[in-house]
Amino acid sequence: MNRSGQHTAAELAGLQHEFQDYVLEREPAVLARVRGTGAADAATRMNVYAEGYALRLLEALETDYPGLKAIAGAEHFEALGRAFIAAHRSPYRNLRWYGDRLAPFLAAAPAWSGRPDLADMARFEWAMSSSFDALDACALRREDLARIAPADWPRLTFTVHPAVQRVVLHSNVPAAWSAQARGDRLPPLLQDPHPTTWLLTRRQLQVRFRAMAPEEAVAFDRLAACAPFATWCGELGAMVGEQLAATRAVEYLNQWLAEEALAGLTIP
Amino acid sequence: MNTLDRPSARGAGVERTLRSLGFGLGLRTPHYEQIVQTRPNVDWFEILGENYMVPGGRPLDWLERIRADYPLAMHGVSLSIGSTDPLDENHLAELERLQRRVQPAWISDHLCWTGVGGTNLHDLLPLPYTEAALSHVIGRVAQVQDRLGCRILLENVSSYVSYPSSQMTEWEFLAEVARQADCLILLDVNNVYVSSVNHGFDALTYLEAIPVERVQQIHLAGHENRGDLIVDTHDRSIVDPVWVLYESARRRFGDVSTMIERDADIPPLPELLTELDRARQIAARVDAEQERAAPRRAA
Repeated sequence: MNRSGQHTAAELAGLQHEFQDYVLEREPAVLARVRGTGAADAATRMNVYAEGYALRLLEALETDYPGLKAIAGAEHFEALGRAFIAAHRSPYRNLRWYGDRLAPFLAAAPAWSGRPDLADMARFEWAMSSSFDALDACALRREDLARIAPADWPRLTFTVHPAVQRVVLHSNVPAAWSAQARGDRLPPLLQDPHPTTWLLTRRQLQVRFRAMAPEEAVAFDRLAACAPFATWCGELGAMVGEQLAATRAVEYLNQWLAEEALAGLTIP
Repeated sequence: MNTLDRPSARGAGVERTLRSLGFGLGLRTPHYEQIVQTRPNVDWFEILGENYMVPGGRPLDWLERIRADYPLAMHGVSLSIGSTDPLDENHLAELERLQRRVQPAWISDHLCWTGVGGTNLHDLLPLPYTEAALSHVIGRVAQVQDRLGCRILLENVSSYVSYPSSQMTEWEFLAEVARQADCLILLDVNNVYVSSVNHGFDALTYLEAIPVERVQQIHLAGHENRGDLIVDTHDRSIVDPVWVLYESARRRFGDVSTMIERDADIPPLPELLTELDRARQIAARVDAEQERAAPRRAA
C-alpha cells in the first residue's frame, strides 16, 4: 500500500475508534466526522447507536438473569445493569457470554454488595445458563457400574457430565427463581450463615437443581476431582460414621446416575 | 445437502450459482416447537449463527431437528468484516464448525464493522465509502471466503450517520465490494428503505445500481419511524413502502430467496406466515406480469 493508502487506512481506524468512543463514553470527537442532515443533527444520529448499545446489553442481561430482575425489581435491575455495562465492555462475538462477570461485579460493587442475595442469584442463574448449553455427553448408566468387578471398585474414578454445575449459595434464591419462573409471588429472601451447595444437572435437555447435604457435597467434590471411590468413601465415613459410609455412597451414586450427573468411569 | 460453491477467480464469469430456496423466515426460539410439530409452509429458515455457537444442549438439538426438515442458511452479525481489528480467528473457527454441522445453503453477514480494539458494540456500524475502506474490506472477504471454501453474502445495513469523507455512494460501494471480492449480496430491502429516508436518497436508484447476478437473498423486516429518523428495529410488521420497494426488487432481481426477519416482540408463527404469504403474492404478481410482458417484447 502506498503512503496515501496507509494514511487513509489509518484514518479508517481513527474514525472507528472515535465512533466507538462516542458510543461508549459520549466522546464528541466523531461528531465532526459524521454528517448531520435534514431532521437530525450529528449528535441525534450518533445517539441512536449510543442508546442502542446500552439497550442491547441490558436486554442480554435480562435474558440471562430473569430471577435477578425479579428480586431486584425492574428499576434496580436497570440501574445495576447500566453500572455493569459502564464497567464492562463486551469482548464477545455472542451476547450469550456478556453477563459472565455479573456475579463478581455485584459481590464487589459497593452499591450492590449490601444485598448478597443479588450476587447469589446471579451466580445461580449463570450456572443454569452454563448447564443449559453445555457440551452434550452420554450419561453413565447403572449397567455400566454393574459390570465393574468388586476388586476394581476401590480404584474407580468418575467423570462428571459437562452439564453439571455446582454453586454455593448463602440465600434461598433458588426458591425465588422457581417462584418467578412460575409467575408466583416471591418468597421472603433469607440469608443463611451456613452455605448450601446446589447441584445442577441436565436431563432430556432440561436443567434441574436441588440442594445437596453437606456430606454429599463433599463426596461429589472429591469424585469430581477424580479421587478414587475408596478415598471419598473413606472421607464420607469420617463424616457420617464408617458403618453408614458404604450405604450412603451407594445411595449417592444411584442418585447421581439417575440425575445423569456422571458421564464416565475409569479404572486406573 | 450442500450447495456451497467455491469462489471463482476474481472477475471470472459471475452468476447466481445458488438456486433460490423460495420464501423463508428467521428461525427464532419461540417457534421451535411449533415448527417441529406442524412443519409450517416455510420453504427455508435463516439461522443467526451466533445463537448456535454454544457447546451443546437444547439450542443445537432444536437446530438439528429443524435442519432435518428444512434447508437452512447461516446469517451472522459479528464477522465485523469492515473493522480495522484483525479478523477474529476464534469466531472464524466457530463459524467453520457450525458450517460443517449445519451444511447451510450459504453463509451471510453484514457489510459493516461491529467494534474495534477488541470491543464488540453488538451493532452493525456503517463504513465510510472510501477507496481505503473498499480495499480493506475486499482483502478480508477474500480471507473469509478462502477459509470457508465458499462465497459469502454481504448485507447492506441500515444506517443513521454518513461520512463527509465518503468518496462513493453506498450502492456503489456495495456493488464494488461484491465485484472485486467476488462475493454475493444479501439485499435487505427494508435497510435500503430505512437508509434512503435517513439520508435522503432515492431507494430505486440504489436498487438499480446493484448487479442482478450478485443478489442471492433478500431480507424484509419492520422498523420504527421515530419522526426524525427511522430505526431498524425488526420488532413489528413490514410497512407498505417496504412492500412496494420489494415489488421493485422482485421485478429487477427475479426469483431470489426472500425471508422475513423478526428479532423482537416476536409474534405467533401464523402472523409471520401471513406476512410471508404477502411476499409470495407480490412475487407471483410480478412474475406473472413479467411472463405476460415477455411475448409482447419478443413480438
